Amino acid sequence: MYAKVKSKILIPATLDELFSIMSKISNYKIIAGGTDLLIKIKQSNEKYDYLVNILRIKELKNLSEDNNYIYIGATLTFSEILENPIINGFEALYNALKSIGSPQIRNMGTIGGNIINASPAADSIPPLLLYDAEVKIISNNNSRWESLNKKVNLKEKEILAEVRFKKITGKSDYIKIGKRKVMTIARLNLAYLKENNKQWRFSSGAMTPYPLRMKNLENICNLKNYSDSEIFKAIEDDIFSKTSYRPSFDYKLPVLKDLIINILRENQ
Amino acid sequence: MENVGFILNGKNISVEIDDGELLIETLRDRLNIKSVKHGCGIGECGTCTVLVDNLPVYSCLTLTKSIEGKSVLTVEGIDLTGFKKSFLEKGAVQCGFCTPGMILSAYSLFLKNKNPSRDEIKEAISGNLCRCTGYNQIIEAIEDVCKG
Repeated sequence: MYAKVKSKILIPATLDELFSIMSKISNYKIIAGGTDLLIKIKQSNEKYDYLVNILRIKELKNLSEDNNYIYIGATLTFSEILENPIINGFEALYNALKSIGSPQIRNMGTIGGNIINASPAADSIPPLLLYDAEVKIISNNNSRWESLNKKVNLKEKEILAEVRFKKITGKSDYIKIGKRKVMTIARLNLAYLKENNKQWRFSSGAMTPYPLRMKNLENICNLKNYSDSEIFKAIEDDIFSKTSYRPSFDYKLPVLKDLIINILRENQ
Repeated sequence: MENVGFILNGKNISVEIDDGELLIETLRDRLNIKSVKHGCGIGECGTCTVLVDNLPVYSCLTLTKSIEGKSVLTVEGIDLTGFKKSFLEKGAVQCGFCTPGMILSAYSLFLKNKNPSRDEIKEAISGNLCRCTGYNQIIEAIEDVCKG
């Protein structure tokens, strides 16, 4: 009756131990909260000899800030992040994390998992894009920061260690259109930020294969004068730079346009 | 097979498990905790909810090995007097399949918040589906438990 997980489970306590394990095994997958990965394993033929659980590694649970950035460790759960006052003031991110799944999912799922799973509808990515987020990718002897604007692709023996985003102030919010209020996957999501309450930033999710910073749209609505039709064209330019027309766009595009027009009018 | 130790309903236990075993399998099939129900198996229905270190999680998506040393709570481990009375009086139990999960989600809320609002109760049980009652009876029953 249960779908079984047949892999061997390894639980390193430190990064050193993790990299030592990773150098010795193959056909493994890194696992954190498991709320996406275990479902895939149970429902499909994805088979791994090993699952390497990284939740006990303290180095990956850092939550801190400096003058320019907030740093969020990859294996912090959504609940752990939401409880920390450090993300107060970044409403788009707070509201996006709050909208994820259910209390149970937020107690289990991690921000790193959300980023690596990289669903087009991933809740955490559109708001992070607003704040020019970057991810820190580490391996045994290397580490680098990469923009989150592109889907994170880990190479062999690399892991995602943390994400950082710029402390840009200004009104922001996250809007999720789903079939029901909770426990829902976004049909469409939109995050916006009015930097210093002047410069607009927008990003969308579940429209394109990976969430998207809407640069054409930002350029138009940061002009002094613009028309609705210029806004609509900019939205389409953004979306169609990454995807062709899809049947769901009969519904999604008008909704996205309306949401954006309303946000612009309400926050003039 | 290997051994994993954790605290189940306040008692230290050690149990032999298969390596990739899920917590729901360990609880139901090895430890005879039958209040934890197997529903969807993909973290959507909430009937397999247990508390790990007092927070609700889905035991169908929790690797038993990952809870080594942690505390696991099921309805077998809490005082149900108030819940039984209120759930009966309000008609909050019909088929009963969701009830243990509902109670644990509510119990976890009470640990943080002794006087939750109706919205906070709704939020707390939002990861537990009930296909019988329409939720109002359950929310009212949980409100009643708070009032004592």
